[in-house]
Amino acid sequence: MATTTLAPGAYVARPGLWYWLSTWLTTTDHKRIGFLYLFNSFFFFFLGGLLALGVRSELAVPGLQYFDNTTYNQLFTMHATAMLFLFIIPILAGLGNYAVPLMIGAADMAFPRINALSFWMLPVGGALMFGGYFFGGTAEAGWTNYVPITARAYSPQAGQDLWIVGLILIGMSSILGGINFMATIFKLRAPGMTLMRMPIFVWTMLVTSALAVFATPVLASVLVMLFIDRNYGAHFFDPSAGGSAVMWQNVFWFYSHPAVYIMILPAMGVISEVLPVFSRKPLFGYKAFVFATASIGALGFSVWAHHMFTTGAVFLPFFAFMTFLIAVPTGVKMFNWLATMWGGKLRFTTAMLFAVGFLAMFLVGGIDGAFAASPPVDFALQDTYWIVAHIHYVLFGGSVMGLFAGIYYWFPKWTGARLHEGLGKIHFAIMFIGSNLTFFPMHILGIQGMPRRVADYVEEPGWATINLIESIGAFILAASFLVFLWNVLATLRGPKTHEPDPWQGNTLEWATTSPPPPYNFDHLPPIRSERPVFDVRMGVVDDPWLANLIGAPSGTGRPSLTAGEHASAGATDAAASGPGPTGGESHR
Amino acid sequence: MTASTEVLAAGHGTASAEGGTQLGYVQGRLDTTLIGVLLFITSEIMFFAGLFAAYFTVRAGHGNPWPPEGFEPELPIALVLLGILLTSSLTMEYSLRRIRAGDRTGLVRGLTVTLVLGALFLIGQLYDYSILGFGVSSGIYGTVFYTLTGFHGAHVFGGVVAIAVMLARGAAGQFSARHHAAIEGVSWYWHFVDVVWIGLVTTLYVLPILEGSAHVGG
Amino acid sequence: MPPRPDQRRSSPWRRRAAVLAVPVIAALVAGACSSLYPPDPVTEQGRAIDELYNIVFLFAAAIFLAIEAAILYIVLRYRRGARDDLLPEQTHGHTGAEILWTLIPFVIVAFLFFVSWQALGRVVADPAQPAGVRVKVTGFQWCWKFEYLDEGVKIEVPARNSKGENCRDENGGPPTLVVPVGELIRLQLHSPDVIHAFYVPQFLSKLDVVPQVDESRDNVFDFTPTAVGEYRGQCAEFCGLFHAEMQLAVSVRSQADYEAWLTEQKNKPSPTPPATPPPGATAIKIGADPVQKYDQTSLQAPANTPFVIEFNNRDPGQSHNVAIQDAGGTLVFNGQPIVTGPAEATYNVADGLAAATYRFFCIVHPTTMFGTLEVK
Repeated sequence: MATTTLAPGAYVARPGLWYWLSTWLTTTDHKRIGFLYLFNSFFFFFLGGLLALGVRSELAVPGLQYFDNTTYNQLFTMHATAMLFLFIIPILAGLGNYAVPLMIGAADMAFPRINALSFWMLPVGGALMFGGYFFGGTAEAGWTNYVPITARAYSPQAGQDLWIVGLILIGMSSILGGINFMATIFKLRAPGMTLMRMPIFVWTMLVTSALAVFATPVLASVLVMLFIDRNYGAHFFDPSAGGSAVMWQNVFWFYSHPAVYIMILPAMGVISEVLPVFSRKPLFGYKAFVFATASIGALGFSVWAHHMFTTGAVFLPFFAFMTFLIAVPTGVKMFNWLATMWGGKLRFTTAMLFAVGFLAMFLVGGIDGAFAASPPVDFALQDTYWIVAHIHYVLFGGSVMGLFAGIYYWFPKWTGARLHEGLGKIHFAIMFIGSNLTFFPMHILGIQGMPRRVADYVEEPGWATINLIESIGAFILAASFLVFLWNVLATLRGPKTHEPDPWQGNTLEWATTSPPPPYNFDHLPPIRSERPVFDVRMGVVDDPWLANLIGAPSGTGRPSLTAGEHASAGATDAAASGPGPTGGESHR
Repeated sequence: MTASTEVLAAGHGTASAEGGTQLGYVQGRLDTTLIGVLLFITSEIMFFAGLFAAYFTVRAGHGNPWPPEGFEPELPIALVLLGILLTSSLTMEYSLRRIRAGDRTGLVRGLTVTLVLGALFLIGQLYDYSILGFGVSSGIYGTVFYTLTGFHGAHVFGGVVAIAVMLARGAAGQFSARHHAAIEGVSWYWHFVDVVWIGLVTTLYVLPILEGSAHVGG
Repeated sequence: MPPRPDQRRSSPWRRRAAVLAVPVIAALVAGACSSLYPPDPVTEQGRAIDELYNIVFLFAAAIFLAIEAAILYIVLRYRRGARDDLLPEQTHGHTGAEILWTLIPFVIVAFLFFVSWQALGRVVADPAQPAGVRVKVTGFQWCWKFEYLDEGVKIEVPARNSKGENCRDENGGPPTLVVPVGELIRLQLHSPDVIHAFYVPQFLSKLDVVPQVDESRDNVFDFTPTAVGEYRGQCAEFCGLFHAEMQLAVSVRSQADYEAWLTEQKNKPSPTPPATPPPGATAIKIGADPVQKYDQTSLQAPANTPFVIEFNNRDPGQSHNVAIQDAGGTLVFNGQPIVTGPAEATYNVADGLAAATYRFFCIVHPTTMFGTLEVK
């Protein structure tokens, strides 16, 4: 029986700022590194958000009111740069950093020091990318950084080189993180946790990591080529010397398309954890989820040229077909999520609200993509606000909603206190309204012909009104984050209940204290299905230690099983496959 | 407190065939560190894939003659360098087998020879650059030639540093028949570097000759 | 651990709200629908795209409504009661359903792919089809010019007119491509600098303008206009500082009107000249020599008065111009067009410059071709 004299999750503390600082700077504990990822990523989220507000302020009314062309171009370039490379990709890696070792019953990641290195490369990379501001201007040719506009001749500023180098560093962070996750997931799963018993979130982190390891180095190669062109007089992208401008796009998108799956798969994994818990049902079609995730990862490498349909240099039918095809596993996931909730008993905690918001909004983003998958239609939509609508629906309506679902879900595990539900619901409502107000009208602007990356637009009928609505929506959206911040601060200052299992969860992270001790687990239950904690709570698997921790006494106090439940729970147990634990049951 | 699973069994290692030890329970037999090395090599392969893709794109767009007039890479030197690297892979493998048998002296001997061969490669590559007569900014051929061979050379340099570290550790007696996963890892990386050189020689030197589009001189 | 208090059961008001929500949302969607359609196409190719869009839209709208309705239904129907602690049926999956909702989406996307492929044949340029009018469209930083290849007519506007507007003629109009209705118009899209895109929203189509040394590799954009009218367009691939101002117009006219316009253009003594400097303005001469060198590194100009730069690019195959930046690095003048040697160009610094020391340089080779301009 575990008895601790320290508060859950506490380190031995010595007073003093220096001690506090040095533990955070030198930590290799995946939980602390997860927090570091969260802090750093939210910093860039706010920075990127401010840049977005700058863009939307300028576009609210026709004409150039606040910024000149150069500054505007820097605004949208660095907005996207910060959001994609310094916010969404790292923060999902950060969620994974905290959750994955816990969910697989491990004490830490496979390579804790490389884990720390992966993190610390991020603030440095971010500083480099933004540092251009102090040296005559940041990069200003869009986050896609096409050549020849980013060749030395057309972007002479040093900020462009700093952007390249910063991104190489961030890419290396991603690759090292990917290696770490894959090694951890392959090697450090607890006894009894076969691959087909892992939580789907772990599966999505696995596939995401594979994408990072396979695709990111290709980005590194193209960045290096541009750097050599810019600084050593090379000719990779110089048409007049035998180079190719379109080659940048091919190699860049070979990475950047799998990158968007890196941005969405972990969020889908979060949804796949949150929905079952708050529907009180298992995930519908676990195997299908695994295959769908793997398919999306694999197919993701075959579609990149759909970003280049209008270059005239692409074999359109192949890429159109593969792009349409990738909608199938995505659709399967959507239906399976709905089926998970169908017939369930839904509890609308804030995490669940964000999960449902994800479903509602990611659907729109996915449908947008189906339009763009068709090359003739894409000829009308490419480089217009339709694409801006698409990316924001999948990234904001998808990844960010998923992220917040994860934050509200796991916050009690991280800190021992639940975020306030009332404030959470207000946060959700304002964010949902604000984001739809901002991004939905972009479909209209796009199909009517407003191109993207423009500091100003012609005064077509309705365009000014729509832009104004979008800008108002953006500020509403920004306000919702203040609510979130307030919630976080108030919760952190408030009392901690330290509930190990506040949501009656399914997976192993709930089988320890909140927060967990530095070594994560005092005791692991036997793992017989993809819901080990649920099994203990239901009495399907006998583990008095865990039953006591999560407050599931035997007898009538336990949530009762329905008749169908007995049958399927028994079926789960009988179907248990894989090696038995070498220690679990005999140590009591 | 009860430490009731192998996850917490500090000091209780599981030895793997490749000579690694993982504290605690692990799935599968391949050493964790080696999985890391394998994945790292995978990422490096993808990096070179991007560079090779650029090479072939540029080559296809250029047409014949290729290499263009006035650009003549030195095939004999490339072949000598290939011989050096292949030999070094053999000596690397020798080192690994020696330490698997517990022979620390053999390990140090093998690593030293490998290190010397690696250094010879680098010197040879720099010599080649010095006599070529064109640079990275000399037209598209110079660009792709120097980028490909340059990054390969950088990877050889990294490997040489790694071998030096292994040599120092080996001489200090840090490896044994049971504990030498790092040697295995470095050997895999070194073979990878060798394979890339085979690919480079084939692509840059041999293919143009086979295509009949070149005048690769000596 | 006792469950925390939760929401109340579905109340009558909630059900009424749910029922009301359906027509409200339907109305919103219907209203949005009309503006979610593209503008009426004015080319045959655009029509093919429009028809395809309608098909895709039908599926999209159906799927959107069905799934959002399902979400709404599930969210309302399966809310947990406050004290309901029974577990629902723990369904792990249903192979039949899962196969069905894998196959049906597959069939739908296969169909969409097929119709897209069919439409593609009607949209992309077919070199086998002879064109009625052939125009070389040059997109450059940051304007357009049009050369009617079989007629010897050139259309261009000054990079900056006397009112300070970019890429507009003296009346404030963008460069206008005049074409006859009903004929196949073939555009060769050429760029001497960065990637641009030729986009006319009412054509429902665009195509990138990719810099190529070999003009036979330039993209070809075919369109057959079906309706007389004036259509606006602009660059749709980010190309730098004034990307947003790179506008153009297409004027589709009847065959007779087009012929008349063509005759008028041919009879013009010379193409619309850029704003001419006042007579007697100082002319500075500077040239570019092989390879990528100016023949002078020190120039002088009078302050606060317009002056002219006569630029002779003697560097074969290399593109150069003369641009000027002030001491703070701000670009104050960018000579257009950038010319590929051997060629000459006259750049009119129509606003003059204040007295200061400036740096002149080639915008294509800013780090290797530069010098000092003293303005006194």
